[in-house]
Amino acid sequence: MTPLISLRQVAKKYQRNWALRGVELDVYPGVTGLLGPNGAGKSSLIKVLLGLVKVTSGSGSVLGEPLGRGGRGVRNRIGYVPEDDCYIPGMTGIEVVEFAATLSGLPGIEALRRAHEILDFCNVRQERYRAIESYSTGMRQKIKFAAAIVHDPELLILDEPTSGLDPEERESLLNRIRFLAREHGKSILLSTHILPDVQSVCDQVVILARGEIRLNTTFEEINRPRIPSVTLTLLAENPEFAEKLESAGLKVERIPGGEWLVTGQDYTVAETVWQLAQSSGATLQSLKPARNSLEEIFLEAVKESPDANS
Amino acid sequence: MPIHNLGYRAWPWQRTSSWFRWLAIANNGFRIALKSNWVKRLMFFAWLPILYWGAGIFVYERFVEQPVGGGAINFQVNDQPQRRPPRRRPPDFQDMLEQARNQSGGEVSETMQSRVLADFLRTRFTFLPMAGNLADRIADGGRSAWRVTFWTWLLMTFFRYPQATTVVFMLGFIAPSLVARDVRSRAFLLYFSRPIGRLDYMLGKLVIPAGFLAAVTTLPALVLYLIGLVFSPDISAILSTWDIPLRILLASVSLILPTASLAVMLSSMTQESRFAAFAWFAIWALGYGAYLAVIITRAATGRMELGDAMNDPAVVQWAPISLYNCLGQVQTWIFGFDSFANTWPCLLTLALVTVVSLVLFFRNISKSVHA
Repeated sequence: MTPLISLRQVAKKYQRNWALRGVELDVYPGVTGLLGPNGAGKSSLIKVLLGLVKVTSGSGSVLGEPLGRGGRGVRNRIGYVPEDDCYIPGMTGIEVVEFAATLSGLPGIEALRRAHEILDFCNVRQERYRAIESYSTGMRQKIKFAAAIVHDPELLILDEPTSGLDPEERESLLNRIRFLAREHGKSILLSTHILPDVQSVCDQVVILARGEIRLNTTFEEINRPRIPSVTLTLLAENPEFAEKLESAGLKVERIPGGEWLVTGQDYTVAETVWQLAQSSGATLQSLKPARNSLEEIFLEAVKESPDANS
Repeated sequence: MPIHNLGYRAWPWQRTSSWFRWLAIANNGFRIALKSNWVKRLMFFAWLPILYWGAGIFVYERFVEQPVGGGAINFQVNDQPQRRPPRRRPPDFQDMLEQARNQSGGEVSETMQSRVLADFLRTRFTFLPMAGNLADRIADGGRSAWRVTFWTWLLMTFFRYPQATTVVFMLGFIAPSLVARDVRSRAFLLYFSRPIGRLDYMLGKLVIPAGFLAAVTTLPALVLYLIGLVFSPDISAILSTWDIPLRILLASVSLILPTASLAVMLSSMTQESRFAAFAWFAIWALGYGAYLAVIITRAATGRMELGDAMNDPAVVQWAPISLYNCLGQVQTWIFGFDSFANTWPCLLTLALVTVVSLVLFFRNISKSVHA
């Protein structure tokens, strides 16, 4: 499969600070989550993809257009929802979306028709005729989303699209993202801090920290069981069981939710747990293969080595 | 879900050319600016002077070019000198013509008529703005040049006085928020995440004040010219005044380019449009005040009238310190009432203001995009 975004050793320096360092990234069609702590370089990466800033070094392509040379062409095919509240005071919601459409090249009356159609899709009703300054944060997010998709882009870059939304609106927006990806084949790059959002809609996840790509993998990979580990829940506390597990050479950790994470050396760990539970009289409420949690993976990926700052 | 909700549909049709996306920015700017009642009022007031100046053209055409009845100025000297009762009032045009006839022994050539009219304007119409310049041009040209001289003088004063003032207020209302608003609300991302370049943005934003300025200067000036044609006796007026529309366009460009560039640049320097508005008015007021001080000083040291001091070459050379007077000097030259030698410093100043403003505007936008 040809990657939509392909970056090779991309670096970006602002005065003395490196925003991106040696970024090697391939993003394939589908929904990709871009994760990273504050200051990780996510916004810089997005600006590089949009062709708004020139890279200091490196090369790459976005939607087949080379970095740096096809800015205008690329932006014709990309929809972008910025994190910041960006609107033009004095305009109504419908005018903002119509204006976004005309900026992207939709002709006059068609821009207005399309703006109405997209606002219907985004569930913006009569509020579309109100001045945008009077909108709530959630409404503004909807307008930004509508403005980003009004020209039917191939790639959508969403920067914190669910921030400020109530749970119902957040779920609606995620549903729209899923719908656009699955029913209309749109590729989406979702930059967010909210890990459950990434978990619920993304196929691929990229973790960026200190300007470097720390992880670039698929959710299929992440969800694969961590062999040889199991998580178990006991009906009642049984200290003898824990002792027996440890004496059998298994590592036992208590994890949030009252579960135990038992890690062994080989695939027999589940069988050993069953036998020791029987011998110690412990009643197992659940026993399942341990899975990676995105939160753990994220924390692990962004963790700095002790000499990182030196 | 509303019954008309069609869900999401692809939009595979042809888009407009990317070279004209700036038009979308300009259109939107016009739409937002025209939502303000103040702007509409200002547009209305900006067109009012056309009545006064139009009346000027009418009076000229009615009483000078096609004199009818006793009210008209009669340029033909009667064979018999008229006997008039002695009066204590200053001599009128007829008196001056008679005097000229007596001096020349009966014949008053067209050149002589021009000189008499010039003297008449100098002595009796000192209250008119730049009457001296008008008189000089009348004196230099023949009878056939009166119309074009008078029309260009009217249009020059129209540009220099009511419209120049309107321009200051019009831009003071419209321009400060044009870019400052985008900076404050971070609307840059709305523009630049689309196939819009910095030059498209600049062009789109510059066209907004330029369009309003054209609407209050170029358009009414062209209408004035048309009024002149309507009141003129025959079609030959077009042949003698063909260059006036070109002068109007040139005067408009010289007015619009530096002022629009400066106003938009000031707007791009701040998030608060009131600061940009303050800077805009301060530039005009301080410049005008400084030039006024030069005039007063010259009048005091040279023991001359303020009106004479204003046209004194020693004062005119200071025009570049005031944007208002600088523009006025350039327009005076464009309409043919002053020499290039007196005007080039002002032309250079306006060119510098335009270039520096555009460079700073570009730099400010780049800074905001990269931030």
